[in-house]
Amino acid sequence: MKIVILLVSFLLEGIISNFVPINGFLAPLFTLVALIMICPLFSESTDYYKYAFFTGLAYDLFYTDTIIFHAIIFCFMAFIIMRLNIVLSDNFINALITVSVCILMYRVLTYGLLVFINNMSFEVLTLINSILKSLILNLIYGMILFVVIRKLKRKGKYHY
Amino acid sequence: MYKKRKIDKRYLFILIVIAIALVLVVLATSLKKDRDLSSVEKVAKDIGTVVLKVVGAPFNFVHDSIESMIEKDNIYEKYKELKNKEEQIDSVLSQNDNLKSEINKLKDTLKLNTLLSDKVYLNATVVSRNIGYWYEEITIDKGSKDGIEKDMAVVNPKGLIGKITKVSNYSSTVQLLSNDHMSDKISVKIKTKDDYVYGLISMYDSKSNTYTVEGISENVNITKGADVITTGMGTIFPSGLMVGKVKKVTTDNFDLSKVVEVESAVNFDDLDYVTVLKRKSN
Repeated sequence: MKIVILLVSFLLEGIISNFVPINGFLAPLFTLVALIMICPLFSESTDYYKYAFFTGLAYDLFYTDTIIFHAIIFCFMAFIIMRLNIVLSDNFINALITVSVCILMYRVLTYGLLVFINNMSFEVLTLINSILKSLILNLIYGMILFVVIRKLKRKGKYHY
Repeated sequence: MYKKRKIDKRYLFILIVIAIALVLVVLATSLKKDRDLSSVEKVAKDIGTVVLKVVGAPFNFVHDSIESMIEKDNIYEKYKELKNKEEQIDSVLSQNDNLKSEINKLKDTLKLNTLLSDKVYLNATVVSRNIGYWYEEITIDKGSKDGIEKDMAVVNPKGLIGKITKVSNYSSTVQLLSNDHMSDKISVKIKTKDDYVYGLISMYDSKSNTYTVEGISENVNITKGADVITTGMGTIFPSGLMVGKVKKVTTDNFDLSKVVEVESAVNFDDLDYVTVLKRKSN
């Protein structure tokens, strides 16, 4: 089930990108959101890191021109998600807080690294815009995923 | 116990430093402009393109149906507009034929094999747009097997979009002009009353969808709404590609040259189908 959720979110990110404005307020980050939502389904942290690494690698290969960049970033995000899951209990509001914090960290990290290697010039407004543009759609997707995973768990189709 | 924790922290610190260094090296290497895709990357991108096309087909169908329904509402206005254009088309076509024959005669006289404006067209569909947010790229469903090569210019019916940066067998990556690195130093010409003035695009502003063109003499008169097109100078873009229209004309800080704000002819938020242009070789 974890793989299905990740795969659907991964493909949906690519498809939805075609229907939302490039610079609009609906930038999809469904793969990251799925990675956040499936975290409580893992009993072993190493398994979770493996999922994060290979999802990031697929992201690199399929969607961007970078090599293992997203694989490492997703592993780092997995580390942050696991820490947040220890601190915050597993409920609807906390899941959305985790999504927001992770989007913020992901954007800051990727932008910071791109600025550091001189690929982009630094502008605070650009960074803030990128975070705000990513929040709306991904929080909605996070809510949907939370409800779907909760329902699946309640039906007893999934045990962890 | 304390000692063990300290060692763990030290290892963690070293691990973080190594990871950051690795990420920076990998990122800098992979984003190099002249890097070609490896065979693994090419295969992965081709598979990705096919999968996205298949999975995205129902979504595209719904999207196209909604768009055509909206278009049907304005069908009478469009008919009237086309009717007006149809009346002009005969004279435009005859003018075009005349100009074509004149160009051919001049080419023969000057023994020119190609012109800066000679190009071959390849149509493509956009498969994904700007995933990863920062890269300002789109992926199209045509690759090296269809004759696409690196650095080819890409346009849509409204004007210039960008250029091909990465090519795999059945897909390609197009870097958009909205990317800072791309729009930098593109040679353009602006139509004045009876001639053209030449300048260079120095930057793009995504908020206003405008380019800034610099390097234009102070004593040239540029009118608002004038067409801005590529010059064909340089190796990438053929001449005559629409870039945009003049929005605002100002002077630089020293009053020595004009700075022209050009509204992009293309809406980068709405790219579904594109055309790749190839300069005709000899």
